[in-house]
Amino acid sequence: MIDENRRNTIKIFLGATAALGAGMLATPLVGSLVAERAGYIQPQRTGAIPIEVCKSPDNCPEEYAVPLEELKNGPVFKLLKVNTMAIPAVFGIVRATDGKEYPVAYVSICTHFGCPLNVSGGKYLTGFHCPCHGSSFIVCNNPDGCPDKKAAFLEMYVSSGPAVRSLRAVKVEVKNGKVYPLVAYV
Amino acid sequence: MRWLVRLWELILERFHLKEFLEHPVPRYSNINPLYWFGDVAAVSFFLLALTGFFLALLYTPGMAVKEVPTSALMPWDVLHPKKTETVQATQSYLSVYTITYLTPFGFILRQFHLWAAYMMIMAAFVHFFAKFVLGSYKRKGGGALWFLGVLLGFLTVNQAVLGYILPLHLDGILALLIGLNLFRYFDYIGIPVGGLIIALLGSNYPTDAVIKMIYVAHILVVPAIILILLGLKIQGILYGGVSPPPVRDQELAKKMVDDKEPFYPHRFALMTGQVFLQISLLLLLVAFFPQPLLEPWAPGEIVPAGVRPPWPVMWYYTYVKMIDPFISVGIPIIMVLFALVVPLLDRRGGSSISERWLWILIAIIYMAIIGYGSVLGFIIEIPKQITPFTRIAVPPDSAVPYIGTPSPIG
Repeated sequence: MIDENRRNTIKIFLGATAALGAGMLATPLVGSLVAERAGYIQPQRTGAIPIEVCKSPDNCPEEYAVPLEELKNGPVFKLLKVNTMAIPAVFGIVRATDGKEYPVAYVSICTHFGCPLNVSGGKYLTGFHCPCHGSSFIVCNNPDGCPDKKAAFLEMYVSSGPAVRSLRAVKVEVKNGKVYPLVAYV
Repeated sequence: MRWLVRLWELILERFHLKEFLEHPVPRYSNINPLYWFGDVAAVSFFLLALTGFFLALLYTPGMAVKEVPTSALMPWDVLHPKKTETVQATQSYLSVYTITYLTPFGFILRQFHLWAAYMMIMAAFVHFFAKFVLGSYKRKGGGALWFLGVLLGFLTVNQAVLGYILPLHLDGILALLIGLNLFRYFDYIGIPVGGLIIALLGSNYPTDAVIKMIYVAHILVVPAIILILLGLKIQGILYGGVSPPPVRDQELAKKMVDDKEPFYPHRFALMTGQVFLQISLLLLLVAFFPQPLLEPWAPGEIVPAGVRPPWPVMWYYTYVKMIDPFISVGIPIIMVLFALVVPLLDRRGGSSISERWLWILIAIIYMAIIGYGSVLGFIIEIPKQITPFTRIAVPPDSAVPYIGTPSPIG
């Protein structure tokens, strides 16, 4: 006993849901196509969104700055509050294989599912570990890059676990013995 | 006394409540426990609304961090003890702490809300399974009710997760962070979900505004949608009748459907008993199995390993840890979509168990996927990728390079 009326009701319900879902997915997609006009934040090929923290170290608020002296004792966590956003950044110093020291900063959100990350390493920043699903990230500290890991210099690549993307970085600059964040890729 | 009786009769008459109270209910649905669990879920919802009202008055959302002495925390709340003198806690956490430990009856209020939520989810799962096995969507109007039921189940689990986030304990903040970043996998295929989240909430990391949004969604938006859908569903059952009995014999089925008794007093007595039984059971659970209010956490602190999600989403945790995220992130979407199209796939045959054993098997497999993942998540430390699904290789141009111009110091 097949009732056409009932069949149609379900079809209308399902169709409405599908249309709503498709619309919800399509809205940002169409938006991204007309990004220039609509002012949408265009995602990069990497999925990262650039957020400008400071234009230059000269006019950067002091609360964003981390003194190098402090960084020499170990990585420092800083919650950067930019407009409505809160960006969890970990500042640190990476010791490259050639013996030089590089100030760096990364967004400490796991690229797998978004858990907060724990810093690994002592005085120098060597990597991150995710307590939720067990992903590990290690910094590529060879100035020529790490071709076996397909990672560029200072890239925080995935060494194990379910994450599929390298950690997102914060562009930094040093001035007067302080590290200033310029652009955060969240 | 006489005028009170008159008033009651007047109310019954003027609002046509007599028709409601006397609406016929088939006897088999009053006897068979498979027809009870929808009521349990619905009554749980109203108990949640009642306790939730008082909790909403007492709770203040906020991400502002305060230092509190470690000795103020109850030992049973701290699963990962710290050796420091003070701990950092958010305003939300301190607010829930105040409700739980420093407000008269607050402990019972919060625990009752929590256990009622657990009972609602459990009842919803059992109800879903029961209706799947009975094939209730086969009768006239059943498909639409099934559809509403799946949406309600989805909203129920959503509501559970939102409520779990609100105290902003360690596990709650992790749940929120995961919720804000989970669907950013769409970013990789050009759909700017991350940008959308930032545009809507202002941040993809917990801030005051984000917590406020979650609070409003939990106490107003989602319950309102649930209430509307629940009203529609009750209306549909009231006028469309309950699902047919699971017997093969057509004549017997017809006889069973026709064997009706009025709602009042038969089902009414049953439901009154059910409400009191449910409240007593919940109070017993509160008394003997109070759930810990987990430890506080603030941004920048170390996250202890081994934090697990609450049981309603434990199966998801298990599968995302085992399977490649590009596949596993969509598992709940696939489960919900499959549940939605079940009435369209399962059309033929009657609703007796011997006629639809295949669909009963599918129902068992469906529940087994959830059950297997839940149990596995609790009993074993899942090794990384124990399934044949290997990692999908990252295209080189999609990896995030280090952005700045590397310049050494000193």
